[in-house]
Amino acid sequence: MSASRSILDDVVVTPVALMPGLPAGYSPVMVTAIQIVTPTGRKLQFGAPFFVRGLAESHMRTGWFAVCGILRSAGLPLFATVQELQSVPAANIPARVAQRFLGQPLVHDEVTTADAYELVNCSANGVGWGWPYEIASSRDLKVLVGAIRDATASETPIGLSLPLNVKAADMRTCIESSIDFLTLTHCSESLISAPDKIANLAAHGISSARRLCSQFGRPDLPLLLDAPIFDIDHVIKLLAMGASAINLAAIIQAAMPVEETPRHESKLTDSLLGSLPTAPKVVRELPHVERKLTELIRRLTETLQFTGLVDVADLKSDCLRGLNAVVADQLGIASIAV
Amino acid sequence: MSPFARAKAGARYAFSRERTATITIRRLLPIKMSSQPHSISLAGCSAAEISKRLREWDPVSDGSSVSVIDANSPHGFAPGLNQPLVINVVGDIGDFAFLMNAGAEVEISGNVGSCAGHSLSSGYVLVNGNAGDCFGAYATGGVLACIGKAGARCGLALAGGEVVVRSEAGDEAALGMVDGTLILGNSVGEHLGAGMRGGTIYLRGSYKSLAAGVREFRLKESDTMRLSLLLARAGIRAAAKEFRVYRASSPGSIGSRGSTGGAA
Repeated sequence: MSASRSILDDVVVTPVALMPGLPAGYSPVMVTAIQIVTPTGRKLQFGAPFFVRGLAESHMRTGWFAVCGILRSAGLPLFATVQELQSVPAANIPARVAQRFLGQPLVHDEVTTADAYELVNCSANGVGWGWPYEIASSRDLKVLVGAIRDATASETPIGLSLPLNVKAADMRTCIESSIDFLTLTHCSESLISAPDKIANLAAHGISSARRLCSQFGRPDLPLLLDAPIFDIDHVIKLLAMGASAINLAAIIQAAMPVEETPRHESKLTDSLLGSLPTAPKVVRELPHVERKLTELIRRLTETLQFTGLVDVADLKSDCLRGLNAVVADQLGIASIAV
Repeated sequence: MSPFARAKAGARYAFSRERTATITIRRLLPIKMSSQPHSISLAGCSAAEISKRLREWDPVSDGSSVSVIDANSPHGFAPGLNQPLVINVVGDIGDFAFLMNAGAEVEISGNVGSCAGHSLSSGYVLVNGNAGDCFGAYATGGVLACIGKAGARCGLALAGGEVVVRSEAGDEAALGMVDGTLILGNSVGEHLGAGMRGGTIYLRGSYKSLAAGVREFRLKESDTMRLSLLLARAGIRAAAKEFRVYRASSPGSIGSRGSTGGAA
């Protein structure tokens, strides 16, 4: 494998065995939505197996309203604080996942107004992974999750965030605490930044996490993958490997138009107002981002059609084949040579 | 009568040093409730059922005072309360009691488990017994008082709340404290103020070790006034001048688990 080639490039999606009894010419409707369900049956529905995490209002600047609007219309959740969405028009506000980072308090309004809540086991700048001091055992975590659940009247799905290279013990602790979803995050403190290496890490991390979920009795636990994946093929393969939804922040950022920095006129003018820099114009539409998202959903639908599946939830690792035995062995999938 | 004098008059506990240098509790005044409390027995109820009943409690039609008896030690007792209720809990309760409390005034006659008053944003929590580890962790506002002993890491990552522990406290008190006030009426364990970046510790007894980056400051008049008010608010009568003040050496500096040692 060359240095710039990811392990995901050596994996292909193949059709699954035809379902018996399916009438010829039957063309079912593709289901690309996923949902997170609380123990009381309350659901958070994703319009597609994607979400946006790690995009802050301050990063997006003028395009923030438009991005929120796109996510809202596509039914994709956004990880954001109440404050970040305060200036966004109500019609543009998507489903919101609130977060509590390591060392931060639980904020009543954040918890009770969110569509889902995530306890992140690292600091807000993405460094220093670990369990909070108040969590000494899985029992403590279970009590905390239960208390947050009670505070929201069991209406808000509660999840946890762990690093991509999750350990079995941590996974067991999470699963025993009855969480509703788990986010696997690429640590920003990691030295790995090349896209192919991140893809490798994501592939190994997600397949390992899915195996652990099955091992600990929650094979269908929604796993959200937060890693900077740019390649649409990689996104689809990672969904097949076990990810329930993938973070699109990297793809959205890459598709954003380059903002022109406001020029400061050095020339002295007669008018005082004329010499002041003007505020950047708020972007109402982001056609590049919309096109990218549409393409992503189209490719996902095509993959489902190609594999003979109707639901994205059925897209599993048995649809994948490794181009060589080493890759197949590493990812726990069948080899194409077999 | 000034607010301070009024608060001081309502003090129910006092520090009194005996020959063995331990502090004993002396009840000065009986508990006063704002109105006749509605007693509800929650024996056998799960934490979720208790939470639901308290959350649905309407202070206007049901009365603002609730007396909860036979709490049956559930964990995660009444999280996320934001009604202006006065709650009197009779019995011991488990871990994460009154998580994210935002307005309720609570008095617990027994002991509480770990993380009582976690992320308190306003209101008042008084524990007449002992508290477990991480008492008052992440409190951003309000007052938490423990008349008995508190476990390790009391005032963990305190971010604006005021935590009072009348008796002994365990190791790593004020760990990662950012803002607020921690008042320790007796001795405290090791690594006092580890990772502390802001806020104030008032200590009356001794410590086993003080974290690096934390040092003693002179007790000023403003400290004395503030301390007196907080002690009175917690129902404790004590002389503020008996306390010493500890803060991070420089604002924003991060203390580590050093061991500069020495009981004062």
